[in-house]
Amino acid sequence: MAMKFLLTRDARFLTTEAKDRAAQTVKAIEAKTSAEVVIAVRKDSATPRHADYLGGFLISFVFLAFLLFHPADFDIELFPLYVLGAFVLGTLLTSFFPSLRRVLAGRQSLEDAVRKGAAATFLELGVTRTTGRNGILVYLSLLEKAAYVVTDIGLDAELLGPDFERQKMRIGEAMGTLEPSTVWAAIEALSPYLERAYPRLADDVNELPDEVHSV
Amino acid sequence: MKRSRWWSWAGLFLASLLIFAVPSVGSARPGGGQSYSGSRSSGSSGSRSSGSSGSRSSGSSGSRSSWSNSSSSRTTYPSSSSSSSSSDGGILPLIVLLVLVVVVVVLWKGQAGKGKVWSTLPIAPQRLPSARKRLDALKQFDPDFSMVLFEDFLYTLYSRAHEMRGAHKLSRLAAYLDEASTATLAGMSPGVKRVDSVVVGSMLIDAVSGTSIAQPMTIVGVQFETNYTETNAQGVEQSYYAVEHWTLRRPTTAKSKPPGKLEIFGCPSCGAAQPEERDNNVCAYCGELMHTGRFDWRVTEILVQNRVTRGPQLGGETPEMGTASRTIIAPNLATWMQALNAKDPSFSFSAMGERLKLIHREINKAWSARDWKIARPYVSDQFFQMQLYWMETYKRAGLRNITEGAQVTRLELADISCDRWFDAVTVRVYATGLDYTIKDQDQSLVSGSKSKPRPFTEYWTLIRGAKVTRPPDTSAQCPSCAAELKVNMAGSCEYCGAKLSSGEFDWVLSRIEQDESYSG
Repeated sequence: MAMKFLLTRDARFLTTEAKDRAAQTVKAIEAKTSAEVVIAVRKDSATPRHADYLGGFLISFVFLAFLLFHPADFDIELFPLYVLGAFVLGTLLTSFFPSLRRVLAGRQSLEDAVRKGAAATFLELGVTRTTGRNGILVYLSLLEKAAYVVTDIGLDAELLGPDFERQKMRIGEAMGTLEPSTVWAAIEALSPYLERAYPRLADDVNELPDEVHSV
Repeated sequence: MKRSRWWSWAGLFLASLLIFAVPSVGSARPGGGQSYSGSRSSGSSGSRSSGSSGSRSSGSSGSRSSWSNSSSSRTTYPSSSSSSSSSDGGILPLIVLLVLVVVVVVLWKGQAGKGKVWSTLPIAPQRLPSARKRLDALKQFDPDFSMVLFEDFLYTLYSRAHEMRGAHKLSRLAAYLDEASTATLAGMSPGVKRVDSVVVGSMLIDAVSGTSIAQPMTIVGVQFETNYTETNAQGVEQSYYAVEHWTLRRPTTAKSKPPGKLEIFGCPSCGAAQPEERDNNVCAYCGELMHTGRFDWRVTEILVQNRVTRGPQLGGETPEMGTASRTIIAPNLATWMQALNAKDPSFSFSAMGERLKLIHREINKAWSARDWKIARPYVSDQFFQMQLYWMETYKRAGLRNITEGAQVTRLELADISCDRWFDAVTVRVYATGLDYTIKDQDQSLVSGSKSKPRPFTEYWTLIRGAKVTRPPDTSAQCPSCAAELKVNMAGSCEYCGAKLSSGEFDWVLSRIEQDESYSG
């Protein structure tokens, strides 16, 4: 049961319910502020192929040890093929286990991938295309269990204050649990800081639509 | 999906079991060869024994080698065992690998059904529609808005404003120039006595905002690249090349004036021409205050980005960009095509293509021969002035750009737009030809090649009056009086006086945009 939980909980971010909840969260925030919020969910920020290869190497190594130390006798000419086969299958196998990939990829590599993925998504989605350059991207990456918030140049970090920065960190912590409701709540908690610095104006125009789009 | 994950874990578990279960099978093989490594053929001479943990045994030629390990004695012995023991061990790794393959396939299938990634914003198109295209949205509030007329207005306003600053009569344009922009113009050359020969070399609408009903003001940014001549108090003439950025505003729901009223620069409310001498900014006819910016476009900022006496650098090698890129086709092209065909059943792209090829041939001939009279019947007034600017600029620099053997190789329809006054068709033109620049003085080559044709593509926009419904003409006759096609500099037939360059009779070339700058 624990294994099932481990393997399927990221999928809860990909359900219709999660998407609807995210759109509601964006609407709730934008009802209070002139900032334009966008949420993006990605399965991973970059394919951690090095982690897969490392997994493949470890499995092929175990397999080689098995061939060497097992009491049965094996055709030695086939050893290279066996080891190669174990490496390929081990690489593929590793790629299906997010937890294993995270461990093998290393924290720094994952953090770099999330940062770059968030920056690329920010441009890809055109979050900059607002009159006041006041877009915010909340980027959630499931494999890395990480969040990254990118704000456009129209939103002054000093004006938003250190509490806003702390709340950004809390979204990252919430992603660590991979519990959607916790994550949506953490994102919605950005609104008081945004409201204080950039309150919604009477003639506010929703420049970035809030509907969910699959990529 | 959950089910398949369970299967995958079950597969892994099974694989583990097999790995640990099989040794007992191996040890139970006939002969009980715990530490035996046998060649399928006989012979111990070739065997290599290791005292530590394993041995490699090789037989004579054609024999196969095998590896075995004894956990009990760690000693290997030559033997003559049967092949059955070897085959038992040989199949074991295959079983393990097979189990791994099954697990991977099961996981793969489970992965395929997984939901897609998403965001609360669609991926933005790589290219935004051009500012000109976005400005077209004004037609929903202002059916009389026409991009062709608006560009004519900009062109004329620029020329008129500079001529008026030379005549020190900028106040006559107060309805169209606010105080700040008037001051900028007046401050350019305070002692100037006359400004004339104003030629706009290029005019680019580079920014547009406020084209939705929610935004009360529409703001447009325009960059002009121009040339004009100033005459000072001593009567000395000086030509300037200038780059200026103008910002214009108007209420989003304002109504455009019909053709003919735009060049008057009269009352922005009723369009009536105003007497030269007047004491205030109240229209003599409708009584409206004219300088409020409530009725028409008004310039609110002028930035002089460059103003020098020397012309732009010419003769450099510029590589073609975007020639291999895909044609940017307007998303609603089919709809507009239907609308155009409904209005003019004689319209066909192939017939228009012939007209375009004729225009291409004639303007290349005119450009190389520096004789713009050849191309005058086929181009709009604005385009004519712009090309004249570049021709003169080349001449002043002592250079001559020649396009030789230019021919159209392919045409692709990219966009159609229609408004109340004009139809416009944009075609991507694939062409090739020699393109080189020589010095006037000694005919020496400055850039390009006299022998290697240069393939290129450009987006050409042709315009025609919205009421015209006749097949495109490729003859050398005036479409109005059928006389020999002879046109004066104003674009009118020398015999009947019909204005041929306005698109009132046939398609004329209005714009040429390069691949790298065209965005639909």
